[in-house]
This record gives sequence, structure tokens and C-alpha cells, in this order.
Amino acid sequence: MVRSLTYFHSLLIILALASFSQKEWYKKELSEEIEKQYAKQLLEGGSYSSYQGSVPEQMHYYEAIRMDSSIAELWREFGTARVKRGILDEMYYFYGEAVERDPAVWAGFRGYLYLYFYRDFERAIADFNLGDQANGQVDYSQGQNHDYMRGIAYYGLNNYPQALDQLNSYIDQTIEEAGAEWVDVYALLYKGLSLIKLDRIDEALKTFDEAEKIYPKLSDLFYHRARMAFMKGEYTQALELIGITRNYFSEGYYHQRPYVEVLDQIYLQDIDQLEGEVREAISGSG
Amino acid sequence: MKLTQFKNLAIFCLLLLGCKQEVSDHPVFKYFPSEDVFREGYVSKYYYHFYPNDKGRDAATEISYIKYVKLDEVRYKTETYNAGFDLESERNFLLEGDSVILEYGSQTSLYTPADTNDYVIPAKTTATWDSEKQSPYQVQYTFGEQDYVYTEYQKSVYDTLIKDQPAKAFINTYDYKKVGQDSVLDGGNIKTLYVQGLGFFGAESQGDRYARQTELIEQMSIEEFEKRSKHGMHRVAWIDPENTISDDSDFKICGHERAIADYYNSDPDGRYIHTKQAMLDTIKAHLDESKLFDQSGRLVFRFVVNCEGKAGRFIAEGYDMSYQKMTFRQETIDHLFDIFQKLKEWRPTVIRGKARDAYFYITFNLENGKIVNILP
Repeated sequence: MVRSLTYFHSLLIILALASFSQKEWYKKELSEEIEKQYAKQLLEGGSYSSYQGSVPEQMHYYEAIRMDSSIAELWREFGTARVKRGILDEMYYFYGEAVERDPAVWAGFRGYLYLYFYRDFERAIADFNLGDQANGQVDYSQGQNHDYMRGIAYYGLNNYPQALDQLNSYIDQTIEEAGAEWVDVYALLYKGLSLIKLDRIDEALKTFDEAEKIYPKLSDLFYHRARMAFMKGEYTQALELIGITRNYFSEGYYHQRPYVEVLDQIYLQDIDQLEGEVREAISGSG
Repeated sequence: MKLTQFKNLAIFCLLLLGCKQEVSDHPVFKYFPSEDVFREGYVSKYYYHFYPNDKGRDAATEISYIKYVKLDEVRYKTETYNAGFDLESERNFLLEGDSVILEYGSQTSLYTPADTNDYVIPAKTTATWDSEKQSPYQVQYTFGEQDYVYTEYQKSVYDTLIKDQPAKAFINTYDYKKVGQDSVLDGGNIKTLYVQGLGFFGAESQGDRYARQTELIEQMSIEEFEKRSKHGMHRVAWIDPENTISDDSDFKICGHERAIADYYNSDPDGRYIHTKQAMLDTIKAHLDESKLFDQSGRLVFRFVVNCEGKAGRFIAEGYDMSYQKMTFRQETIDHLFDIFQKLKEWRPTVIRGKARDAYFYITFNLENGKIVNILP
């Protein structure tokens, strides 16, 4: 008994020494409800004054995810800088987590990334389908209609009849619901390009006419018209169209997207090359 | 009870008494942690909450750390760090009676940490603890490329209790202006709290655009703070200059490591100067498809283009068609990298009219030994 008492007293001293050397630091206890609220706020705060992908930004997201990992947008936000900077495996993981938590919002968005950033057309189509299924309707992601983007994806897969179906579906619905002026001009551009691939040149040219009403200076329209004129042997008209293309192109009116090259984007070299071919044909025929 | 046991108990009691946190009787320091803690230094972690008056906008919370160290009987200093543990600002305070005077303050540039801007402090008394304060506190600082002036008027101070501890509450008004301009960017009322044993406990303000709340989340020793600050994290897509596939002996970045931007930070984007088509032409002209070996996947070259448009610090990362890491044959990497070396001139990223170093990447999409796309 005496021995155990001595032991007990010694233990007290050890504990006292331990408490003496280890200050108990303040730590605020947050309720589950508050943590959920703060997780959303940290998601916002991460991008408030920190550069995207920076350590401070990521630290906000890690803290938020410890509080509430169910927020799909948090996982998506982790993925954003990875998409823009070519870190593919991490993009795939983080967007996968976001889609798993909220397919209605993020499946279509991931499809948009597969389409434009990776040209992974089959995955893009699958995601647009998944998003539409979750929403019960043809949805929009990044402001773009899923039928429209499915159309571009099928164009990328060289499945031009299916591309036309999807693009027409989007175009017809937009005209019916909002009016022809609300159709995305690039849907008409890709419709025209699909028609060219299917050798339906007259229909393609009519489609470019429709597109011109929406975006009169889009140099892509004049470039592809010039190509068609050249194919038909209408060299003078082709040169005239190339001149217009060159003007509008130099003013920056051509199909492009931030971060990535679009499908069948035109370059100055394309215009130069076409003009060279036309001039060569003229000199050859003369 | 034997003598030994009595001695043990006596020692225990003495230790407990000794462990009792020593509260300063100084009118200001008594609202900080105990003398021994303050002298050694401690770090408080805060959440800064922003609640926009416009209810259509989302509330936001930022993380910040403040390190406090007592320098002598009348001085202490603070260092503020962001969520990534980067130093943002330093302040030195002097106590004159119950007045707290900002002797010195400076702000550290996030992207060039060697650059600091000293505050201009037209009115240095930040607070008086037990008496009415007549004069305002005013400080000028730089944020981005703009100089701002912050002014605070102490309206009242009173004693209160927080978590059963004696506390001091200050009621002030504040406003922010651009230097040289009269219009107020934001202003309102602010309540600031100091709690005995804890120090700066938080603040609440209601401004023209936001309600703000500063909330003490936790405190820690400097040792713990330094342990956390050694997190080993880097910005997304950081390239280790010591671990590249390129000979970078002649490659120099123009700015600080932290200031390396991204190709998309400028409009137009930083990219190959002779257009993408010219880049594709160069690649096609030199490509030997036999060196692609029927492989499929995505081979990503990431690199840095400095402010002079020179590329360096190349790394190669391979992914399969399911976006998982894979290893491409070394001959393939070497061959494509050799072609890359022929692309000499890059258009650097330009931010606010100044060419900057920036990270770039190019992805080769390969299908059965053919390059099907080069992105972005």
C-alpha cells in the first residue's frame, strides 16, 4: 500500500511537470453545422486573394474539405488549376470526386473539359449524357448546350451524320425557344463543316450564310467559303473571299477559345496556303 | 503519511502553484498570454469572415496567422502570415502607459519576398486601454500597385467578460481611402476584443460593403507553427529546377521563383511565337514515327518560358488513355524533346505590360504510335 502511494505521488509529480512544460493551447470547438458553413466560406475565401493553384489557396481547400468533404464544388476547385496546367491524373481524380457528389452540376462541366482540353470525345459525350440524365433535360455547361457540344464531339470522332443530328437539335430548339439570333454561331460553323465533310456543299454554304447574320466578320466563314469556291474552280471568287478572310482574321475575328485550340481552328498559314494554291491554279489554268 | 510521501505532495503543490500562468499587472499586457508564453512567442490562427451586404454574393473566409513576441518590458512585435505560411507583414509596437503605439510596420511582397514596403504612419497611437482616446490612428500601405490610407477613431473602451475571463472591448470607427482621394472605399464601425490569457481574440465590423468578423480559431507555440509551415507543398504544376530533363545551365528566370506565372495569365496567351501551326509544321518536319513505338497515351511536356521568351526546365509526364500515370519509352521522350529544342522562340506571358516568367505545357495525344493531337 505504502509502495503504491509513493508510486501515486511520484505520478502526480510527473503529471505536474508535464503540465508545466506543455501549455494547453486554445482551440475553438466548432459545431458540425458551423463547420459545414465555414467549409463553404473557405471555398470562397481560397480564391478571394490567393492566386489559383497557389499554396495559400490550396490550404483553404484542404481545411474546408476536412470540415465537409461532401461539397462537390470543393473537389472541382482542386481540379481547376490542374486542368489549366496539364496535370492530368490529378484533374481526373478531383473532377471524378466532384462528379460523384453532384453529377447534375459537374458531369457536363467535366464533359466540356474532355471535349476542349483533352479531345477525349467519347468521354465528353458520356458525361453530357450523364449530366442530362441527372437533370432530366438537355442541360448547359459553361454556358454551352450539351446537344451543341455533343455535336462537336461527334464531329471530332468523324461521325458527321451524328454531329449534324446533335447540332440541328440544338439549333432548332434555340430558334424555337429564343429566336435565330440566339443560336451559337459556332454551332452553325460546325454544322457547315459537317455538311462539307458529307459533301453537301450547297447546304453548308447556306449554313454559313445563317452564321454570317449572327457574326458578320467571322473569318472562318469566309475561309471555308473560299475553300469551296476553289474546289468548284471559282478562283476569282476564292481570292476575293481570301481577301476578306485575311482582313477579318488580322482583326482577331476567328474562332478561338482561351487556354486551348479549337477543332479545325484556322491559322494565318492556312490562309496563305490556300491563297498560294488558288494562285497556282490560276497560273496553271492561264 | 511518511516523510517521503509528504515531500512528494509538497513538491506537487509547489509545482502546481508554479505552473499557474502569471498574469501581468500591466494595463495592456494583462490582456495577452502570460509573461513566459509571450516572451517565448506564440501564434494565433484566425478566420477572417467576409459577409457581403449584398446578399446575392457569397460569404467568404480567409485563414491567417499572427505571431506575437514580447521584445522587452514595453515592446512587442507581430508577424502576419497567410494560409500558405508566407510572411505578409510585420509590426513593432511600443507601450507608453496605456497607449499602444505602432512604431514600425512593413508589408512583404508575396511574389518577391525580398521586397518590403514600410508603412507610412501619420498617426501612431493605435489604442489607449484605460482612457479616452482623442486622436485617430492612421497608416498608409500599398496593396497591388495602389497606396491606401486606413484611419481608425477610438470611440470607447470598456471591460467585459469573455469565456469567464476579463476582457477589453474597443469600439472604433474606420475607413479606407486611396491616398490622395477623399472618397471612402469602405468604412463603418469595428469592435475589437482582447481576452486575458489569450490576447487579440477577434473583431467585428460593419462596413458599407461587408460585415467582417475576425475569429480566433486556435493558438500554438512557435515551434508548432514552424512545424506546420514546413508543409512541403508547392503551387500546382511547380517544376523542381533540380530535376528536369533539359540542360538548364544557360537558362535563367527573370524574376523570383514565387513569381512564375502561367501561360494563360496574359491576353493573348503566352505561346510559341510563330503560331501553333508553325510549331506543328516543325514537329511534323522532324518527327520520326518509328520512335513512337505503337504507344498510346498522353505525353505532357511542362516547362518554363522566361521573360525573354526562352524555354527551359523541361519535364515529361506520361499518362495513359485513362489519365493514369504511365511511362513512355525513353526514346520517344528523347525524340520529342529533341524536336522541342528546335522551337526556340516563345512569346512570354505579359502581365500589366511587363513580360514575366511563366509555366507552359504541351500535350501530345498518341494513338497506336501516331500523334493525333497536340494540345492545348
